[in-house]
Parts: sequence; C-alpha cells; structure tokens
Amino acid sequence: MNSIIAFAIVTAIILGSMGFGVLAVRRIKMTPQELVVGNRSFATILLCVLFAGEVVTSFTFLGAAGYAYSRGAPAFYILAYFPATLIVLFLLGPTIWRRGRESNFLTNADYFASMYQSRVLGLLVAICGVFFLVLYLTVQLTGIQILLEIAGYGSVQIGSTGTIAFVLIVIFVFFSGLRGVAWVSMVKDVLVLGAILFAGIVIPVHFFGSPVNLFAKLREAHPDWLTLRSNLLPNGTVWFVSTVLVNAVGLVCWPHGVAAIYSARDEASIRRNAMLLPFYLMILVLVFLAGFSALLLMPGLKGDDVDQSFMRVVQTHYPAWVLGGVAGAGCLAALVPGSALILAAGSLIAKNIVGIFSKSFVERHQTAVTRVSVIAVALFAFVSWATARSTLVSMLLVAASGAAQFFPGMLLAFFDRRPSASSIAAGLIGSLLFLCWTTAVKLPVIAGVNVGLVAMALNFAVVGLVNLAGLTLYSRRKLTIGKTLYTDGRE
Amino acid sequence: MSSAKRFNIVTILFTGIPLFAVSFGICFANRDEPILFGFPFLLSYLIFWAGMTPVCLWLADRSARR
Repeated sequence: MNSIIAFAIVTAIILGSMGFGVLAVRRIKMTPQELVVGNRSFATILLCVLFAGEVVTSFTFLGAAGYAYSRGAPAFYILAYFPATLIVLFLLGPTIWRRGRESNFLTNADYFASMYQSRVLGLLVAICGVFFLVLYLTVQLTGIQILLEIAGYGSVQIGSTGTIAFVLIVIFVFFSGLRGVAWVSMVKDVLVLGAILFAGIVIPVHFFGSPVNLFAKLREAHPDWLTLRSNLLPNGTVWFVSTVLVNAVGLVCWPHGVAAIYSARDEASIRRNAMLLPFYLMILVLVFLAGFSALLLMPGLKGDDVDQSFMRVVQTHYPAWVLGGVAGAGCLAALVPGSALILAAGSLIAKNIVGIFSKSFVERHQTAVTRVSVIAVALFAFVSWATARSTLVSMLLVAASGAAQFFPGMLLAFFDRRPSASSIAAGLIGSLLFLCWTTAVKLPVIAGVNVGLVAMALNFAVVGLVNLAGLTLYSRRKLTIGKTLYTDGRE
Repeated sequence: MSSAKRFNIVTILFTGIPLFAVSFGICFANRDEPILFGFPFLLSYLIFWAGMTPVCLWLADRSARR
C-alpha cells in the first residue's frame, strides 16, 4: 500500500511537470536553434533556473548527502566549487556567448572548430563530449533507480520502472527542446527546494531538536568529521583545493553548460545569473545537514548504499506521501539535467559528427537529425547502463575530470595569438590518456592533488610544447563554422 | 564595449578574492572553532563566501560598467 501511494505521487510529479514543460513550448516552432539553445532568448530568470537545473542534479541531491554521511567535511567542496564555477562563468561566459552569437554556434565543438580553424578538432571535441555526456547520463539513471527503489519499499521490479522513466525523458526532450527543459526546471527547483528544506530542517529538528544539537551530537560521535584532514592525506586540504579548482571550470567546459550559455538573451543576463545563483545554491548546506542526520540515525551504511542515507531515514520514519514527494523531487533533479545532457549530446552528433560527413543533408534536416541523434544517444546510454554498470562507474572518474580538459582550449581561444589546433588536440588527447591510466591503476590523487588538476597542468604543458616545436599535423584552413556551414535561415 | 576593457584591475580583484577564498583560502579556515550557531567554522566560512560571491560579482560588474 505504501509503495502504491509513494509511486503514485512520484508519477504525478514527473508527468505533471513534463506536461507543463511541453505545454509551455507548444506554440514554438522547432528550429535547431530553438531545440538546442532556446533561440538564444532566455532572460535572467529562465537562465537561472536552467543553470540551477543543470548544477543541482540527483548526484547533488543524493551524492552530497552520501558524501557528508561517509566522509564528513570533504563534502563541503560542493559548497565551495559552486561559487567558484559561477565566478568563472561570470568572467568567461559573456565572451563565449558573444562569439556563439556572432558565428551562430550551437555546440562547444563549434567553438573549438571555429576558434582554431579546424573541423577535425571540432570532431574530436564532439566525440569526447558525447562520451562524457553519456557517462554523466548514466549517473542520473542510477539516481532515478535509487529513488524508485526506495519509493517502492523494496517491492517493485526496478528494471521496468527505470525503463519507463527513461522513455519519458526521451519523449520529453524530443518535443520540448531546451526551452521546455528550462520550464520544467522551474517546477523542479520549487520541489527540490521543498524536499531539501524538509530533509535539512524538519529531520534535524524532529530528531535532535535543532541543527545546533545535531552538530553537538556529531562532535561527540565523530570528533574528526567537521574538519578536513591535514595537507597530503586523501581528502585533505590539498585535495579539497585542487578539486574545487578542477570543478570550477565545469560550467564553461561541459557541453550542456556551454549550450546553456548560448541560450542567454544577452551578456548581461549571464552576469546577472552568476550573481544570483550562489544564493540559491546555499540550500546545499541543508543537504549536508540531512546527510549528518542520517549518519546519527542510521549508522553503518557502506559502499554505494551511503547515497541512499537520508532517503532511508525518510522511508523509515515518515509516511508514504512524504517519501513520494521527496523521491519525486529527486527524480526531477535527475530528469532535468538528463534532458539537457541528451540534447547537448544529440546536437554534437548531428552538427559536429554527422554534419562533417554530409553537410548539405544535415543542413536541410538539422532538427530531424538532432532529434534522431537524441534518441540514439539515449538508447546507447540506456543499453550501456543496463549491461555494464560497474564498468561505467569506474569510467565516470574519467568523465568528471575529462570534461575539465576542454578548459585550456576554451581559455586560450580568448587571446588574439592562439595556439595551433593540433596542439590543442594533442593536449586534450594527452590529458585524457593520462586520466585513463590513473583510473586503470586506481590513483585518484597524486601527492594529495586531484588527478584532474594534474591532467590539466599536463594539458597546458603539451599545448605549449607542441606549439614551441611548431608541429602542425594538418594545414590551417579558413572556415567559419557558423555562417557558411549552418545558416539556420539566419544569415 | 570591448572585452579588454572589462578585465580591469577592479574586476580582477573582485572576482579573484572570492575565488581565492573558496579554494586556497580554506587552508586557513580548516578549523572547527570558533563555533557559530553550532556550525563548524569551515562550514560557516564557506556559507559566508557563497553569500559574498554575488556581492563581489556585483561590484566587479559595476566597476567594469563605468
């Protein structure tokens, strides 16, 4: 009975908000511009909820609490890197937006191809980007699976429910595009806010009287939980600083982050967005409180189970409708970024992978090709998630630090004297191979430093060396990706 | 409005300070005490800077506009 109530609420939340998203965009004609970057028309508020939707994912929702549960203070890095990534967005976002508008970019691979005058580099960035996005998408799928499992009180066949949820997100993306995602994100933010307020305030007050008492109890039980370990130890201060720095470049590196930048109406909206979002992101403190409460109420969870920590508390101590509401909000926190990820991957495939081989065809049918790619990406992600989950989890570390490896290329394009395309490609490949190696030998830190930052240093070094050596693997050609290849009826 | 004009010294200062604070700055804030409202100092410090970031960015934006 409980599982039926919880499931009914989760279903109502998902269907209701998706219906809302589709309704919100029903009168809008779907050009590729509209589908992928919302016709570059989002003002500050819509932009804020879109960014919030992409940043606060089910990983934040479950993972941040899980991190606080299993490790304590290292979880605070999430609260540190959000302001950092918004500062980077504030500095670089407006220029990226302006270039995207001038040359009509849709993807981050367009940016690379145009800035470094090389379609091959664009292809490389697109392939890496799709790979990272698919991996990230599987995290969201795992998030949905965890939430549905808990909402089912252990009685429901999860494989089938996961599949249904997944079909829903594909249908949704197919029709609504990025604008629909932004509208659903609005519903999602309200619900997530409610869920987090509940988890971070109601639970501590209910069981401990107040957050102050929660911390007092925590100090008794785990005295070392609220500070970082010293310098070079795993999860120490050096790890913290390097992880914040690597994650800070995320919004201007992840393909879906760049698409969100393009979707802005003007430069000022991007800056205002960066100024407003830190306020919203402070609610993450409450997620930590939820994780700490779970640690005291339900100690002993190990391994992947820590991600379920505070959801288990809700499941055990509160009625089914509360659980349904919280799980539904969590599912939206997976579906919204999932949709943005699928869209970004679909546009990369359509424009920068298929488009390279058959320009005229893609030009004529770009919306259709993007939509077909969306389905292809989704299917691929789903099949690999269903068949090889454990392999994916280990590769995830590559994706998380891997997307940051786009940063040298993004940054160096800001200068008038740019490195050659081949050096950017060499840096990217070199750093990714390095990350694959560290993952293979299970080396998450080197001398306490997050390997992602080491890889980025390597990346910059390779770019510099290849440039100094003057190696050019293929000739430079003049091409303007936006104006000549993809006009979208604008020029 | 050229991009070169945007990156004046005030902009760099007002974006650099919070960026430094939430990254390298935590080395100096990695303490439990002083405890404010029960929160460990490290957490209060990060909450403070999450709140200060919009203020700093607003000032950076204003200075670039002038």
